[in-house]
Amino acid sequence: MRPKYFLLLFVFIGSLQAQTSVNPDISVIGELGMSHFDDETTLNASSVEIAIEGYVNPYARADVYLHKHMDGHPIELEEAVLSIERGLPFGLALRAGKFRPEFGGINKQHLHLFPHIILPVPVAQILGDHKWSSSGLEAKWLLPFPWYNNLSVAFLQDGISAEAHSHDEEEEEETEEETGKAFSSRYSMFFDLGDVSHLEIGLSYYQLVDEGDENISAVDFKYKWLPNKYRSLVWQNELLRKSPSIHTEEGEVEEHHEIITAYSMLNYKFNKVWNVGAIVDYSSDMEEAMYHSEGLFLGFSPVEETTVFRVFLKQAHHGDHNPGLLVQAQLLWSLGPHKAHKF
Amino acid sequence: MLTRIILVLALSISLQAKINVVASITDLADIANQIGGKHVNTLSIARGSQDPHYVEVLPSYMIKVKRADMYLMVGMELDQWAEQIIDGSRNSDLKIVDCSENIIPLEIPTRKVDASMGDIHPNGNPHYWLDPENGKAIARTIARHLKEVDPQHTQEFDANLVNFIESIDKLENEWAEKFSNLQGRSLIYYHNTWPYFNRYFGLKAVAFIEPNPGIMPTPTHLDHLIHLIQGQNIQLIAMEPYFSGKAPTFLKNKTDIAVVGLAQSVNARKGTETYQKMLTYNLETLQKAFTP
Repeated sequence: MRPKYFLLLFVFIGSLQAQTSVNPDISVIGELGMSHFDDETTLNASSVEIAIEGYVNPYARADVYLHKHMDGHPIELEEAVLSIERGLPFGLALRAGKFRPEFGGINKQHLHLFPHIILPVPVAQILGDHKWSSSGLEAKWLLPFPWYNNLSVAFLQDGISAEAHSHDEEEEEETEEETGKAFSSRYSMFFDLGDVSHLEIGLSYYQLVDEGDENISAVDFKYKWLPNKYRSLVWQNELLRKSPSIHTEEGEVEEHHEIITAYSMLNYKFNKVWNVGAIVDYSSDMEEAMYHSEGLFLGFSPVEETTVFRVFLKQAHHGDHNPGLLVQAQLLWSLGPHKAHKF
Repeated sequence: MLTRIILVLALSISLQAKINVVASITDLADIANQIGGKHVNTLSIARGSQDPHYVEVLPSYMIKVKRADMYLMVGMELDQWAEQIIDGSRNSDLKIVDCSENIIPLEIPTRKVDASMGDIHPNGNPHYWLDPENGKAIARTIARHLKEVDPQHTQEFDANLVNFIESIDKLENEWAEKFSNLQGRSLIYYHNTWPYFNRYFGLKAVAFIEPNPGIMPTPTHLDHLIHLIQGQNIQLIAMEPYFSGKAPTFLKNKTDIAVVGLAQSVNARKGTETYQKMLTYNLETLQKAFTP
């Protein structure tokens, strides 16, 4: 063999080794869902989330999340974001790409982390069924205080599409709403209330930049008691206010009322593998009627969080409609590495 | 008044001059404290009584690391959560030290690792600090990095390192004499935390309460352990403070086996305030349990 082929072989083998050493973490979370509502039982088929994560250089990491919401739907890009968290001055960090902006407490949480399986309807009313993600740039500043204070400011290509993202294709065409560029910010504080008790408080604000006068403000707080790995108690709350606004589209003027929505969720984990909890939510104006619901949930994770079984029962009250009972069941499995839990 | 202000300023300057060291676990913090002496402030993210595999990433930890000059990681994929804390701290001047850099790992898997094997660490068992010889290696690593950060106090760090190693050498002689009867003893551990400790002190782990690392015991596995305890006349179960006592108590009720609590880290239990005390505590506890 000629020397240059030896060299090529050497480079090829070297590149394979380099590839192995810089492989990102790849994980898959699968879900099988079932729901029972109005005397009808539906197997929701499968939803899958694929996460590809890793450092791209000493200063930045990249996180890509692909989500296939239901059978028969294409895989959607949920997030593809570059985060620069090391090497910037003054406690700054940057995120660029498509991501879930820091807005309220629930927007950044992925659906599979919800002990109550589904997004509270009043939150979906404001943030959309799949919550808010958009392409843009976000700067985060760790303020120089003795306790944790973080200020996030983001400019996004797309604002919040308030209408629900229906799984019915025809309906989707009717309800999907185009929005303009948006600005959002969140100020959060975190307090240790002892070795095992912690509290986070956040204030968020969202404003469309170049059209309309719509804004959304939110207050969220989360308390967590974590005495050991066998038990924990989480109390998470959020209140969102969407301002009254006027939209003009193709000469037609559309007026939107003020909407106030809120939820409060309590989740108790015991014996390491069980969790039980309750959630209540409220909307002041959902299709011109008040909405509220109460739900109970139970979860079982026999082998860490690689396999989770959840059940959720919810009674909803909406205007003059008869209260409806929704029963939701979910089987979750995860494959591959997962990051440590953040507060 | 002026004297007071000058004193306060001088004090604050001297405090600032200390190297702030944050460690993933209390053992690394204590060794850094013994090597750095009066020139370091140390703190640990995981409490001694906390399972170092599962640490929730709290924003308050990020603030602690933001003020730090040096972060001591266990490495070998035990404290992967530390990466998120370090990222969140946005401390671009932080020196990250992997304390496993001079350790010869045990139990490196010989085949492809997957989740069917439980929470297996592909680079070997990460509980290396429980071998006193590895304690010395950790101390040398920390001393070398402290000298890089603060070369002015090189002599003191070197002297403290010598003192630390001598203290371990002295204890090793005492342990060899006092605890020689532990050699060859078999016991059941809750989790596979102790291979380095076992290797040094001549103990033998015959089984674990966990069927696989990180996996809770199943009835079938407990039944297997009952047969093992009765068949091989195993006398002792040893467990870390953060595990549930349910399964060990069940086995104790079924077989009369003794159950003792060990300290896998500094400050895991009362009487384990330093690295040396922690190792001695474990040996004394085991000897007491094995003595009829």
